[in-house]
Order: sequence, then C-alpha cells, then structure tokens
Amino acid sequence: MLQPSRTKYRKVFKGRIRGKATKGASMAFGEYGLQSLECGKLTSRQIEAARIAITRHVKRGAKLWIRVFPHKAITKKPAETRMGKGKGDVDSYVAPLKRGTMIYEIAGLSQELAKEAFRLASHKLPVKTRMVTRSQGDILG
Amino acid sequence: MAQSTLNVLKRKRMGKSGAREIRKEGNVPAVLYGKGTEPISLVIDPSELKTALSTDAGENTLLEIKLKEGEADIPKLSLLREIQYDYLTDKPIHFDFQALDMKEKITVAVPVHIEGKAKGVKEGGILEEILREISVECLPTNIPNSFTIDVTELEVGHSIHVNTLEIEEGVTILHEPEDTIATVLAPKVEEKPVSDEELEGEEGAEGTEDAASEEAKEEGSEEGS
Repeated sequence: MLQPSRTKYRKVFKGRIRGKATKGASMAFGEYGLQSLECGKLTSRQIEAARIAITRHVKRGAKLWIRVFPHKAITKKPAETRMGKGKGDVDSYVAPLKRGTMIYEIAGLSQELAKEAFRLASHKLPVKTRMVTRSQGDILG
Repeated sequence: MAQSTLNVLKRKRMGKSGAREIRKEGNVPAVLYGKGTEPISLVIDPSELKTALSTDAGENTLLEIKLKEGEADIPKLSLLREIQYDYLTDKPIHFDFQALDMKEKITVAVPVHIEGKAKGVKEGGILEEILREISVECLPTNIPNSFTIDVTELEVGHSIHVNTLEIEEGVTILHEPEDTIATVLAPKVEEKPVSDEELEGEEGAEGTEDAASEEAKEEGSEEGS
C-alpha cells in the first residue's frame, strides 16, 4: 500500500476539503481517466483496492497511472480510551481529493475494457467518479 | 499554411457576470492580444470556430478575425493560443487568440500522429505515447500541420525519438534530440493473489523448521556444557 517514506511532521490538522481541483484535473499520461466528481479522502487501502480491481480486469496489455498519493496522516485513538491525553497515533494515510481530480489514467486498451475496469474500480472508492477520454474536451473532437 | 476566416463580436459587458451571460447564450468569451495590438475582448460562437479550425492544420490554423456589426477588422492574422475547458462538462469556457507578426518566429505545439500497429503490440506489448505534441519554433507561414510517425517496425523495448522526425527548413524543434515520442513497453502481469490456505501452509512449514533448528541449538548447547 502507498504511504510516505518519511514525513516532516508526523501528525497534521484534519482540515476541510472544499472547492474544485486546479492541479491534477486534466489528462496527463493515458488515453482514459477516472475523474472524481466530489471532494473526499481516499485511503491508501481504497487506492490499492481500486488499482487491483482495474489490473485484474484488464489482465495484461494496459498501463496504469495512479495520479493521487496518500500524503496526509490520519490519527486514531485506541478503542475504549477516555478523551484527552493528547492526539491519537497515526492510523492510516489518505489522499485528499477535490472535485475534478484525476485519480487514475490508463492507456493501451479499448474504450469498452477501460470503461468496465473503471466501473469496477469506482465501487471501491468513496467518491462519485466518471470516466473521461482524451478527445472529450477537444473542440475539434 | 492553412488559413480561414472567423466572424466574431466585440464583447460589451466585462467581468464575471458578463462572461456568464455570454456563456448562457451559447457563446464563449475570448481575448485577442499580440505585440503592438491593443487587447480586445471578443465573443465567439464555438461552432463557427470549430468550422474555421476544421482544416489540415487543426488548432494551428491561421485565422482572419472579422468583427461583425461594421467595426474595423483586425489587420493581422491570429492563432488560437489557449482553450480553457470546464473541468466537469468539458465545454470550452474561454479562448485566447494571438495576433501574429508574420515576420517574427513563434513557438507552437504541433500534434504527433501515430500510424500503424507496432510489432511489439502484436506480441502483447503496450504502446506508450510520451510526446503527443512537439514544440517547434518557426515563422507563422511555416507551421507544420502535424508530424506523422510510423510505428509498425517498433518492437518491445524500442522507442522512437525526436531526432527521427523529418522537418522542413526554417522549423526548429524545441525538444532534446533524445526525447522519446513513443515506446513499446513489455506487458506487466498482475501477480496471482496468494490464498490464505497457501499462506498458512508456508507459515506452518516455517514454524516446524524454526522449531527444529531451535531444538538442535539447545542440544548443542547442552552437549557443550
């Protein structure tokens, strides 16, 4: 699973995720992409589960790019612990998502295969998504 | 050099609300700028622009912008410089046009077209397009329509580089000669997931080995003492 090898600060504020993505919102590498339509957080487990769903479906003959990385540490207090005594320990890592963020990109396969692979992957993710193609935004397309 | 005419309107209301009004009518706000040209805000009909750009040169078509409603036309030819898209609907929300000085070199992105099916792809490899556009510097009259590369002889692990492109005189490529345009990658096979039973079996075997080695050690130490 994805997680940072080294962080400057172990624990970070929770924060709020609002607005639309200005970076990482367009197709950069592949032919088809899976774009987030909501703000949210993707845990490293969810990213991995969706990746496995895609690679299992396409079997071989496709290249996949994961465009998000879980940089943000999420802390959790142990079960049956009283409140207080400081912030809990780091439990997992998440990737904060804004509306429009491109989560995965894929190339080297047919559109039907990519559509089905992304449909299977979207079931593993906590946000609404849609598939985009490279020619979709083209004024000449 | 492909050239066509584009009829536009001068934008009357500026600002965010004005732009929204234009988009509501089905048009797109735009700006025209250039060296020695006063920037003008315009209103473009996207279907008209699409027709104007449907030449061999595509988005690099030189446009003769004509203002409707009897205003003086823009004397210079223009080039579509940027299209901003709505990130959710993929509809264009703004266009940038640059008025060109025909004697001055400009930098443009020329699309790369891939022809044929690579040998490596037939063997199960994946064709990866790394550069989909090539930046070139040339006079507006010399802009190439596109670069076509033939990948039929490309095997797994082989690539096509920028230095193999055929260019006309007066065109300079702004990439390193060794930059890769397309490559055929070897297919990556997903490892089969290990079932729980297999894992338990392995752990069990390891456990017995460990126990046996520990016993042997203990025996050894007893003998030594």
